[in-house]
Amino acid sequence: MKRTSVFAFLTIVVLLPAQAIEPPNHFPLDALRDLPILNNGRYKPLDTFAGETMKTITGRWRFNKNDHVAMLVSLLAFPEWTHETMIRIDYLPAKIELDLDQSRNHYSFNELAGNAGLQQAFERIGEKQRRNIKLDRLESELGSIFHQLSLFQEVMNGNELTIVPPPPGADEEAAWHTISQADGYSQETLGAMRETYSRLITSVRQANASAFEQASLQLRTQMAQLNPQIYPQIKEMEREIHYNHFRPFLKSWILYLIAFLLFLFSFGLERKTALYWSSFAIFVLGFALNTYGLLLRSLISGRPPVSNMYESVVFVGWGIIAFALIFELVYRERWFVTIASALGVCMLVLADLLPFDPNIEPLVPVLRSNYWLLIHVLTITLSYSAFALAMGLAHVNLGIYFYLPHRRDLLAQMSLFLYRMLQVGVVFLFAGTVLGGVWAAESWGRFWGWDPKETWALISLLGYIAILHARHTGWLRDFGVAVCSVLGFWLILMTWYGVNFILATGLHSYGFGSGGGKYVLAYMIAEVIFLIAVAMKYKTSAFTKFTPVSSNEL
Amino acid sequence: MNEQRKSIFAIIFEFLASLKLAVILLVIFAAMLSWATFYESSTSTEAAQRLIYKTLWFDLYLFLLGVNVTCSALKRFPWKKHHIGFVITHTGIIIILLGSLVTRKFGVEGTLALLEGESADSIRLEDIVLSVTAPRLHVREDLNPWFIQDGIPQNKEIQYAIGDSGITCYVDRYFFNPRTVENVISDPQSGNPAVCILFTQAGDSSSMAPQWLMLDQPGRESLDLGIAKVLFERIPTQEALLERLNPPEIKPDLSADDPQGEILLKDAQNNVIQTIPLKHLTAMPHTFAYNNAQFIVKLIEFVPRAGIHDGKLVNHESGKLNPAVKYELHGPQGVENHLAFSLFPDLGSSHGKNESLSGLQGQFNYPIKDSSVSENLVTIFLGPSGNLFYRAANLAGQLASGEIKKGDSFDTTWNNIHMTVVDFIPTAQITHDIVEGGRAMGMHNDPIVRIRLEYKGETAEEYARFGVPVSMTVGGETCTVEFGPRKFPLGFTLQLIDFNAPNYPGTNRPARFESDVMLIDPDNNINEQRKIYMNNPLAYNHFLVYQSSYQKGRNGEPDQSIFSVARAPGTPIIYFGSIVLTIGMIIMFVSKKRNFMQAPPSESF
Repeated sequence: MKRTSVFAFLTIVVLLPAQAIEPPNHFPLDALRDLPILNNGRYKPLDTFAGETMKTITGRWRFNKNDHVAMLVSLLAFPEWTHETMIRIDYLPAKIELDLDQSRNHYSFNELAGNAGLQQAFERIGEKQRRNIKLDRLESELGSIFHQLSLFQEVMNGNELTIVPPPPGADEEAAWHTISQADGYSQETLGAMRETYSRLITSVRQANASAFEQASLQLRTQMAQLNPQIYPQIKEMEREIHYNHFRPFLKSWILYLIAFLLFLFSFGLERKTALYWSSFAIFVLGFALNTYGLLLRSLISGRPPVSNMYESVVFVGWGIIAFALIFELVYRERWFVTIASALGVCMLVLADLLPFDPNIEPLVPVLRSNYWLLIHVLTITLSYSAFALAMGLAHVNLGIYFYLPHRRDLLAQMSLFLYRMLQVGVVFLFAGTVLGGVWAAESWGRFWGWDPKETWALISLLGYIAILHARHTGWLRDFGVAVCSVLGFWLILMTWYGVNFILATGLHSYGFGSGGGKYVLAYMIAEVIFLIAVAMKYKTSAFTKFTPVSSNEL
Repeated sequence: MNEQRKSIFAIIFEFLASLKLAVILLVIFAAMLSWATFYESSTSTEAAQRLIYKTLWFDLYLFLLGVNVTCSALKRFPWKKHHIGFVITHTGIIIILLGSLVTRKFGVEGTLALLEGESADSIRLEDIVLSVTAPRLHVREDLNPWFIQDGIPQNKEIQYAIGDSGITCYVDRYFFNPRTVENVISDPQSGNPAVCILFTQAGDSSSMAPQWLMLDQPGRESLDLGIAKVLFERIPTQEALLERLNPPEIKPDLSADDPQGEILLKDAQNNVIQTIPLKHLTAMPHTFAYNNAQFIVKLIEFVPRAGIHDGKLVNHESGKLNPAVKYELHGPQGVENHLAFSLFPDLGSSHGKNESLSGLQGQFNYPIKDSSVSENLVTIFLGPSGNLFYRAANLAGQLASGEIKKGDSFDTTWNNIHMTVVDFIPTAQITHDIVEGGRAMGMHNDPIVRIRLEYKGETAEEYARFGVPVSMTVGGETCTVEFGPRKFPLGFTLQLIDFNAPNYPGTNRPARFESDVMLIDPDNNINEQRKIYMNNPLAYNHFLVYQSSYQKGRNGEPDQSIFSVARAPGTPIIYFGSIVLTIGMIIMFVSKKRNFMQAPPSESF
């Protein structure tokens, strides 16, 4: 349906002359920014809608450093955008399949809409979807190109701009409409909003900033008066815009990075120096911003911030810092905060780097229980944080074996820390898994059903318990525990990421996705190389001469 | 001797209680489970459940883990103070395992699908049974149909005793994907003549399959082909036969080539909305209003002896009478060309336009006087001597008749269609065979089993289709046999009043599924309305009824709600065990003295 319209549209616009278009970044855009829109089942400010749309089409919120709202109004006003290379494709096999210029990552609507290979692929994909056949990676990437194209076209035609609420008395499911589709109001009202909208578009075309401001303020007032009962609070819109522009997670990872570097320098000095305290303050400030960002997200979405992969990566980062803060206060050693700040940077950067959707989307019905989300998902996610921190400690531990094998005092201390971290992880993982079972029992009637996510949580638990028991038998020593803590984190990765992105079956099907596999693989290869190097060094060193701790002491 | 036996026990106990066994069991269990999840991903959840999680060896493995945990706790008896955390933790594990055993043993898990307005008092379980009920003997037995895994070998049968009732049940055939085949065989007892006929059309290779007509079996003595009919009749005397074969010749009462009759225009619901005499139409177009629109019918031609030549309508001057009209229908949608045959009212659409845009279809009624011929008809007569005769007539009054033997064919007078008598059995019987090989492309028909019951020296045999109960009487007892999912009584009744799946505003994404149900339990005087939605199940009579999915009806609106129903008596035990385990773990981990690591003894690397 939409497929044909993409190609029909092509014939109209292909004849227009090409010229560079400048989005009106300097316009007073704030009046439009907090205009509420109902999009993808959620009320959001136009600012978010514009950003998410630009991200889908161009891969970035601010394409070519342009303001996303300026880009949106420019797309509405200038059909010439179809010539601009702005649709992002970075999946190489898709470029090869479509015979595109591989040196570029952005393509124009016109060159893609005219691509014969793409048209054939759409038909093939549509046929597969009708028959419920799983798409392969290339097909799902081609499918998302189709999604980009149709979104681009719909946005340009104004069909996505659903800013008109239904008239009073409509039911809660009722859709919002675009200005041109709006219905149920008097001719007078409809005529007035259409006139304002057309003035707005004209002002963009004529680059008339004052006319633009006047029209956008008027539009905003007109929309707010239509159905005040259901119209979202401007305060909520402002809060979301603040979240969009404040970028708390970006700021907090930068602070973590600074703290990490300062902590590293402070290792050469006495512990309670000004350098330590100032880096600690920066660390805490980063944590505060991280917390603030998660709180904002929760307020915007109305649920705990752990309901998709993006949020869970950010939250695991937050949990690592939180655990490190507690352990730092208990042990007063720099190791925890240093390792945690490095891991915090990794998590927050990965959340943006990996292809996880950062948009706030409505939840599937099965997840709509804030109570259980809070107690089950938060607990289990905190266990991931604990094991991630344990993994970081294990790396430092192994690093000491490699570079400072004579520092047995350090090794003993690190082994204790690692052991404590594993304990915390096991308690949280066990509690989280059981709480998941309780949720399942209370709402599905069975405590345990060997669903892949459940099973992998159990596998991780069994793995870590096996490490603890093997340590006790003497099969593993401190060195072995450190190695296994690094490998044990692979089980957590499988539970956390692999079940949804590699296995992709089971009841936890709401979080499925694809991509990111190469990062995980690279991480695992790097770990293997690291472990082999450390193990070779360890074997030739004197440690093996020590007798293992005697078992059966309990 | 006694001494040595004791030490063997001690060795076995030592082994079962050992920490090394624990590590090995844990690692193997983790490896096994991870393999199982990959297996599930590449096959299906159902297959993984059946072949891994719900098998005896899986249970045995869990049992072995439990034995290891128990023995290692007992080994340290009498426990000292520093053993508290360890003992509590291991007790927690044993309690959890016991709880899951209780659920496995006494738990129920099934599904319940209800249409709006429908009610049910039992659920369908996952396992399949062959259930035999003899109400008067107070016997109800759920037999295990293990043959659905491997099938039943040829010439073998499986014997089941139905309790101590003395009834024996035999199963000798199982068809996973059955297909029914009809056989007509000679049976001297029946006295029911059967004839097998085949229609062929010159130049058309796609003939119909041969059809059997059974003279004495109601419903099978005639064959309705839509535009024509075949009858099989017995004629007791020679005179009657002659009269039937040579009736007075049928003629239309008018000069055939005169425009006679009328065109009936019908709407999509087959209601006649206009009757237009053909005579009027030859003089002037007919105008009428319908659905607030003006329509005009214009006659193009009337063809009394119509035939189709090169895809065009032609008049065969000396051909058979086959009146047809061709006319134009002018309406708001434009001009449509209609063609209607009097003898073949269904033919017009296949020669004319495929779909009438106006929704109007024409029927041409041409008067023929002889009312005995009201359809295209072939009759096959069984004469007094036991020979076969035929008489074929068409609406145009053409006639053919004669004697016919097995293997002969004749012209039916309908558009060059010939009929052959493929077979003739003077006294025959229909039997049905069920064979394997129904549907293809990964689909299958419902499985069928063949069941024989024996009781007091009598036997009864019946096919039972999956999920359809069959009633069988044997030795004076009426039994019900059902091959299908095991049913489990709820002890109460649920009625679905309404199901809704409201979407997030402006999307097709459901925000929640919710069912309004009536909970009815007359024994406890309960009759109340409840709401079931995700994360809000209905708990009653130790069952938990939760919303699992729904099915869309014909109009695209969801109308069938699917619930999962479970009773898990071990759950409270598991909760208790989990709390015990957590407490034990925390005690063990916070105790500084004795724990896994003995940290930090610097000499213990």
